[in-house]
Amino acid sequence: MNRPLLLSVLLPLITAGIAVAASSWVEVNIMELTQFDWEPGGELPDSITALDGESIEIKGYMALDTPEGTTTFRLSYYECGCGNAQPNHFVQVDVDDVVGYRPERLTLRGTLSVGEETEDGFVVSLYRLKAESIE
Amino acid sequence: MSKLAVAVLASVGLVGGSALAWLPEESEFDRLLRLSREGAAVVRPQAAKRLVSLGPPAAEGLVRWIQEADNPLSDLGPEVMGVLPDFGDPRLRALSWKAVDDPDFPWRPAAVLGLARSATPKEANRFVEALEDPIAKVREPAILALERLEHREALDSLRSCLEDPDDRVRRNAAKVLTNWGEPCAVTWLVEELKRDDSWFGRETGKLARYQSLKILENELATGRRTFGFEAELPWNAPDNALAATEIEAFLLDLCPDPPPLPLVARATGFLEGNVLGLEIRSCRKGEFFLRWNEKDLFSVGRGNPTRFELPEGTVARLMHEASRVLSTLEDRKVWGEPGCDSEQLFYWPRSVDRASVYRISKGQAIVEGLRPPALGHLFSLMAATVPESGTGRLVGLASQVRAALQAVGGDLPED
Repeated sequence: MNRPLLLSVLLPLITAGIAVAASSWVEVNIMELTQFDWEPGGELPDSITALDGESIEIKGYMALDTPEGTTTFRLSYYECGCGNAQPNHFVQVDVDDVVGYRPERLTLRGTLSVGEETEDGFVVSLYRLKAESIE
Repeated sequence: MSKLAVAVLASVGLVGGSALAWLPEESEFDRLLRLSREGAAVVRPQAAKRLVSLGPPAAEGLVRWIQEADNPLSDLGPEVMGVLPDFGDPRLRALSWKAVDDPDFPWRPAAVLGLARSATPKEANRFVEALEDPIAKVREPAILALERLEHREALDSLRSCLEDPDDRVRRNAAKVLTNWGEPCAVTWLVEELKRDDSWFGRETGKLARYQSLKILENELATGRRTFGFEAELPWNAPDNALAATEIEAFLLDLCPDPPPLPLVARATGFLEGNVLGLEIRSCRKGEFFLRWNEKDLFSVGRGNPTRFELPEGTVARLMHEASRVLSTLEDRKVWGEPGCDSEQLFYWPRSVDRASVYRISKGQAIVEGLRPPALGHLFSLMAATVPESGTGRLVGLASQVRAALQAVGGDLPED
């Protein structure tokens, strides 16, 4: 059972301690993750590397090129019309169930990992979210 | 046997590793060109940069690819177009300008951006001309080129950019003018910190605060003067009170007699009552942000939009038709593939807490039958309410909107 679902089941039953459980999702502002200049190999601010491995809640928009029936997409701070994507401008999201493009702002919860991931010599992501829920 | 044929046969097990070893290896140039044009969105810009690092042989390869193989220049895609001038090859630079001069070329913003990075004094007037371009993403890098060239003969043109309907253009003009000794231009940047507007739930004001703060913190000759302002929070948030006071004092010190800001540059908050919106982004015709308000107001632009009154009942009739049309779409909201053009409909009846969004998009080529006829009918009705008479860049607005819609989803039906 995922954590949000677990919380929704327990909420009517218990009162004490819920605030602690609910606040275990660290709210992360996607603007803070994406609004700094960065080059491959460059250092990230300590405040951002400290989020590695944290359970977070984050809001943002799916990249326009998200296809139907995918389990991975880019989440960005604003839905831009460009195909050009810098690794420090998005969070790479992985989900268990297939999704398709959704134009509205999304709220995601899951585990964040921070740091360069490379494929074939190219940095393909700086932030990755293993999402447990999307609303 | 072609590479494709071998790959297909290999995938079904009809040829083994020895046959694959026979294939000629893809050259580094071919690999990087392929990835720059067709790779994942995050790979394309990196691959294009590496293509440049291959130097003159790659420049020669690109010239051959374009001229000898007779490939259309636009097939290079925006990422390669954006780095063509970085090779330092006059033939490629000439091709970039050829692209900029062709109003039907889809990647003009990328071409200008590339040229701006290595602008030469001889090109100064061409960049001044680009300040008048109908596409904001062309005007914006033109400002950066003039900054790089320190082309102070363009001061008047840059001052005009402070009245541009596009906030990115205004911000960059304000930055350059400030750095060129016109400190009152900072007023425009500080005003952006006061924005709290939104576009159908998208926090456009907050985004402007972040972008303006970045300039104020890092790109002004006046030094870092933001006093701990938090772009995440509105200007009047208690946590920003002290910073806001200090920024105002700093501004007054720089510019004791601040100029009146044009309406388009003035900060605004949330505008109530917008029920229909059309966001058109055409790589050839530019961007349009159109809103219809339940009180029969039509507005164009983000931030502080220009408003027009519509005949009473206009928006109620549009909403009635929108409701009918959208109910025929069977929950489908997305058509086509992104790349070059998009049109998005925002439908926000007051009874629900957020807008529904319907998006049509395509690459650089025409796609027949892309827009569902029902949406074509609705867009035609909406476009018919757009005023033709405006001032400045809004002269002929209705014609501009129809041309942009035509470029994205094809002709509108005559309703």
